[in-house]
Amino acid sequence: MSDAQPPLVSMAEQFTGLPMGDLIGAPLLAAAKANSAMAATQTKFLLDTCFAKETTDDGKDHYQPVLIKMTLSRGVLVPVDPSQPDQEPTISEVKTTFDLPLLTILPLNSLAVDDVSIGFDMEVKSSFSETTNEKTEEALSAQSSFSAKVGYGVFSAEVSGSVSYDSASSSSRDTHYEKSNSAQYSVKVHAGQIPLPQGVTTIIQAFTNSISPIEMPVYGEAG
Amino acid sequence: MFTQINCPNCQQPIAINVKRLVAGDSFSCKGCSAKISLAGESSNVVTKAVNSFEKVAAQAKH
Repeated sequence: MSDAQPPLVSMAEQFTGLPMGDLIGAPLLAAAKANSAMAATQTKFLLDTCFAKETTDDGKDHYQPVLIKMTLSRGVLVPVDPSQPDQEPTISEVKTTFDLPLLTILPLNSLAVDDVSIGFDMEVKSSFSETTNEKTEEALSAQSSFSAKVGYGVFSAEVSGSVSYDSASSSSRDTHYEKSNSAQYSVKVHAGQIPLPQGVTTIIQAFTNSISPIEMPVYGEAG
Repeated sequence: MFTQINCPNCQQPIAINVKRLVAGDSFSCKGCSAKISLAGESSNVVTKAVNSFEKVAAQAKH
């Protein structure tokens, strides 16, 4: 293992130089601008299509909502005439025509950026690794043999032998040194469509409520 | 192109496909079974508005 190891990368330095404002802010700003442009287009469309403009004598513009005619059909139970007990009650279909502001049937809030997701992931990894391997092997071998033959008259003798010696030794040393650091920077920005402004919702609700039939007092009950 | 209006009879919301409304379809209220449809005399006005709306929506996408 060497004494002087290279230093690891500083995580803080890696993240400091990032132009986060541009990376995240720019697409978000572009989406906001697009939404703003669409809102202006939507307003123009509303005034041009859903309202009839009238200019009064004093030069002021007056916008009247364009009304369309709708038909409501529903079954009405016709009661039995008490004088004719054999008659069965019948259901007849009654059609009612009512006015509805054109504004209420157009899905105006669909003209908007409905979802913006900006994901930014950055991962910095720094590592240093050093492996040292030392191996020593030693072998020693020795071998010897001998033989002797002796003869005396009719006798004879023979001696033989051998000696061997083996020796082996080995040593091994593995050194592994590793250091690492890592950092992950994750940014998620989500922008969703907000509902229609309360003022627009109130106007549409007022228009919607205006189509509800008003129950007239029965003749003779009033006053 | 979907929208919804409240039923004039029972105030329950009725989901409406505007294009099919213009084509002459009627939509039933789940609350009281009343059916609403577009009167023939307003067909042209709504058709023009829907076409105009689709142009604006197409421009917005580009």
